[in-house]
Amino acid sequence: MNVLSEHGFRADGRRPEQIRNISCKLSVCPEADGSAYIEQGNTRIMCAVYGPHEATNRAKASEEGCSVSVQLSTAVFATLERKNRRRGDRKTTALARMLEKAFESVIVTSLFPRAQIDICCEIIQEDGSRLSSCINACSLALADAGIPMRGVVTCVTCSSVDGRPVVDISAREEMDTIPRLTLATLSGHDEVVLVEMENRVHMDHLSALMAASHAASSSIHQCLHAALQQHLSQTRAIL
Amino acid sequence: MDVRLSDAEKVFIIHGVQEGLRNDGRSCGDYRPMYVERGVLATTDGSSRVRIGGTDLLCGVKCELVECEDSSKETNRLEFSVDCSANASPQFIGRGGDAYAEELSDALHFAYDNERSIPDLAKLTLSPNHFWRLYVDIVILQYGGAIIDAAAVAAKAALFDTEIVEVVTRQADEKKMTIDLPQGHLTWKLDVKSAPLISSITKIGSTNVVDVTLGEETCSFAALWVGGSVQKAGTEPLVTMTRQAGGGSLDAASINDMIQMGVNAVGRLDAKLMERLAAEETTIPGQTFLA
Repeated sequence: MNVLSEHGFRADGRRPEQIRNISCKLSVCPEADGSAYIEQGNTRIMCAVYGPHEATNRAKASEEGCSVSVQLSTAVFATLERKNRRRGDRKTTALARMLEKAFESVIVTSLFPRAQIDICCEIIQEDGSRLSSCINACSLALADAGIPMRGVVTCVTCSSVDGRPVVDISAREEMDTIPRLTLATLSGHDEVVLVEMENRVHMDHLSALMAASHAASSSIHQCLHAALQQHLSQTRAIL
Repeated sequence: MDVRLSDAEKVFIIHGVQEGLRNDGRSCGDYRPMYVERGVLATTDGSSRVRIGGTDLLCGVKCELVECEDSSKETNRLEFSVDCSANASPQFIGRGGDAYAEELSDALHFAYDNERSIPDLAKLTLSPNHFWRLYVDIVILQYGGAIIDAAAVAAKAALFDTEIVEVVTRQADEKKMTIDLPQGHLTWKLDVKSAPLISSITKIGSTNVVDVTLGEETCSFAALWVGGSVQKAGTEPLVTMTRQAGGGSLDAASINDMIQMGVNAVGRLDAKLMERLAAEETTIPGQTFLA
């Protein structure tokens, strides 16, 4: 199956440089310190943030700053095939570690020595770009929790088809052989928080792919930023 | 989930309940307003979302065609699983929610484990070596009390919503059967009219209460889960399951009253739910459901 049709459209009708529809809602879990729900196309993720609180894992507690722990879980009905494992398999754990590393570099951890921040992501429906959607959900939830960050992180997974960059890929396009670049940037600018590459891409195509990823990440940032602004204007503090 | 009340607040709730008054204006036998939607998940064969007060859960049903040596020996046509999402409470982070989830799925399994609950169950057996297995998976997104009540409602609504593909069986080699798709995509639905609902009856002081909030839950010591299946509309439900929950102990003399209250609650709830399910059109696939 071709990712791009002869007229330059993708299977879901998007153009190569077009991101999926984003809708999000903040403060969805009353129990959590901050939470967010995000829909990117058919990917639906709910994220809750607890903390900063006293570190439960003594070994991870450090005087330098707080630690971030991420738990990713997928509902068994999230994909068309039913999955028996909800959490804890190798791939999910690897993604969770990547999220931890990314957010440890973004959160101003030095403000909370010996503390811990728990981030829990629940994937309700999965349709590709899992890591990037999780990062977007987490940064909204962290912003909702009022945790000081250097900026709002946004992330996008892009691919390169015959040298042409295709941004924000869905599960249908996420085929085995296709190169995938996941890029997370800070506040929609050029500062890179995370880069992850799966499969190989020709060196000549890399710069175009990076440029397209930057552009897509910054358009996602605009969406998330608008959502945050709207949420803040609705919940202004009464002083 | 972690609600801390002072002794004075607890006394206020207990005394109120004894007078038949609760903080939110309900009487002891009343449920909070309940929202039931079905057809909310595009990746499932049937799904539902149930909200009661602060409780929010999703249920998805997936059908799987199982091939086996002898389908009459395989008994579990319905398989229940519950997952406590860490979004509901920080206590559920890691494996924290597993024990509670197991208690819930076990209760659901037990309530459905009889011939009267779903009379159609034999239709899931296709041939001596093929049958449909329905996975009923529930995710608890938010915890606000009365989880088992909501879980049973969600399971019934999702099973009501489930469409199973019509298949034909043909004779194959060595006395085996093969499964084929007929012309046109036809589906059928299970008859879930008598699928059981569960009501948790909580003892607060010496009074029995239906659908407790988190605050009320902290004032109680023991609860009884009563599962009932309505065999014919308008008649009293048949008790399919009773189970004690909540850790404390119950006096044998008080159990009869609790069961009776549970049966009444299930009867009323079932009538309302069937009315709602019959009236409601399914949500359009792809539509946002948490907005």
